[in-house]
Amino acid sequence: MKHHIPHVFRAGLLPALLLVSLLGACGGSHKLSEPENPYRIQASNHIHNGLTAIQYERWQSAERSFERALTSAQLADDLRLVCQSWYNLAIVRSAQRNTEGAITAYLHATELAELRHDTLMQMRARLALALLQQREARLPDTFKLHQLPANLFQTGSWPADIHLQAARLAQLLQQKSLAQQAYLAVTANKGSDRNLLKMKAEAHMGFALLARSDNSETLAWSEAELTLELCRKIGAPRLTAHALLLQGQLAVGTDSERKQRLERALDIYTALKDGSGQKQALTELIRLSLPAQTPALQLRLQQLEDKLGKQAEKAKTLPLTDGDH
Amino acid sequence: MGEFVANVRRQVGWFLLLGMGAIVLILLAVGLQSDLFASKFKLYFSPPSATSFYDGQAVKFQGFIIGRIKERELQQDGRVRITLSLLERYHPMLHQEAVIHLVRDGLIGEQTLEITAGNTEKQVIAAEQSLTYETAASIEQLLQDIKPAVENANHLLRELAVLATWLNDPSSDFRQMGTRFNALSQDLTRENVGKLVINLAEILENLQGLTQGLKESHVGEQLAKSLQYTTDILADLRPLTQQLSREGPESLKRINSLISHVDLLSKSLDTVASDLSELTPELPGLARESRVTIAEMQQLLKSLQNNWLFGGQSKPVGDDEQSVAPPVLEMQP
Repeated sequence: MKHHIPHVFRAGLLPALLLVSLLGACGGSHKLSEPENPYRIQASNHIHNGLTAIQYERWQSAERSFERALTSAQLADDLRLVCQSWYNLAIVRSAQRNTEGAITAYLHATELAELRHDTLMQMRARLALALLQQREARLPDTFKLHQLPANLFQTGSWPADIHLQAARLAQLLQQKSLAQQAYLAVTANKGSDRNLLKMKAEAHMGFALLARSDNSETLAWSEAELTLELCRKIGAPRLTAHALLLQGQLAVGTDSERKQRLERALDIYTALKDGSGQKQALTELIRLSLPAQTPALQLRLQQLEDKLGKQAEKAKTLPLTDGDH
Repeated sequence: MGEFVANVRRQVGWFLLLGMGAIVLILLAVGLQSDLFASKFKLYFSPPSATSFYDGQAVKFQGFIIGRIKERELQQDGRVRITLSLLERYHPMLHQEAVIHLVRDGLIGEQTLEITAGNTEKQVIAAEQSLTYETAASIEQLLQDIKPAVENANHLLRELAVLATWLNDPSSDFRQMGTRFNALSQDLTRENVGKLVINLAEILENLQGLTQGLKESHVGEQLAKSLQYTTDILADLRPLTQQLSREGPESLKRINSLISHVDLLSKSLDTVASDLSELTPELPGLARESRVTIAEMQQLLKSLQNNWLFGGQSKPVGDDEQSVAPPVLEMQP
């Protein structure tokens, strides 16, 4: 005990001195500890865990975290966190192809954002929902891009994620110049945050796809190269594979260079168990390969198609279980 | 002589009869005890795989064993069908919409099947009916859930390391504190200072306790290691305290940097406490206490940030952007 007390006091002396000096600076009128809502802390922590899981495409884990975040936010009666949790849940469900669940979650998020007059969240949820509906060919005929605020397609008006969603939507709706301006708004952002770098990589990929559709293959190649550079910094394998596949499809480099890129894309798609990516990469490789090499690649493609066919059949006949996600 | 032999025969006969009667009685008693002769009914369920199931595996309801797995079959269509034999006396407690799932008594241990009561407003489940099988979180999933906790602990460690480096830097403004100390602390009573010292000393004690607790429970060894390093870093700060008692505050120009460090430290502790609460319910109290103490420091720093002494406010970080998932776009060419 004789040893214990001085040890404890010495250990605590530094922070104590800091506190004392700072408390003095505040004029001594500061109240030391106010009660904190533990559910709010829990919700923020679950959101953080969910966002980490998203980075690694661990959708089930992310969904669990966001569901817990939602419950905690509801217990804390914190509408801002409830709205964020619904939005995050919607993003994850959309990635898991749970369209109905995602739409429900987006509608909840939109409703709460309107209630809180939170224009950013409202716009985020609105664009994300439109992108989902576009993917599922369920975008209402009444939806028109010009109904959206014009500054969505101008630099610096909104957060990068909103510009990116607007850009992708414009690209899918064949509004190339609007898409280009919105992608530019994303790439103009400065910062080294991982999410921002990922979004910038996606914007460069968007530029590359736009350039290819305009037959500017050299520009498409260099934009894909920028995507790869950013992906290497942050680690985004799926986007890396897409960029490599795109380069393999462009008639810019030599055949051996393109083949090498396609093989790298194929390796990544195989590791990610992305059947459709593998199929595209294999088809391109067969097109570029010498006649002697094609039979082995064709056999591999055939096996992959059989597997994909069986999976599609299984998905039709059997209800989705936990293990299928 | 004849009478003697007859007596012996009678005695041997009684002896044999009593022995056989006792054996029959014992068999009956054991049979009744183990529900051997109890009336039973069958239910079925079809899991995706028969792995983790075995004949005779217990089926529990509200923690009581109410039956066992009787048979496992691989049907012609490739599906698994498992037959349960359950005691009839529990039948009225099981209703339509009852589900069955695998549970583990502890983190590690034998798995048993647990059946739920179903919808009590609906009819009692019929014999030979099929139940819905639900998969519970597996160990693999639990281990996956531990990963962010370990990552967060490492994050905490990194932040502490940065804070320690900055505090120990001889050119740090913090190290040059001194002359204003007495003037600034006029409003503090001796009692308040004593309380603060004890509260803050508990950070170390708590983290040490947390580390020890984790080691003893053999949960998240890596997490325990990270927290051990954290404790070591805090202990490294001790020599500085002696110098500070001689020097004191001169200027705090880098107060915003300190605020962001303490903010991160606080967030990391929040996250560790929350992660731990899901893994080991009895331990996070310690981490939470540390967090509360750091929250006090954070609160003071924030109010200080607005104080005229240090001029101006740092721009708050857009909180929404940091807690909103980035869009998941499909960019496949």
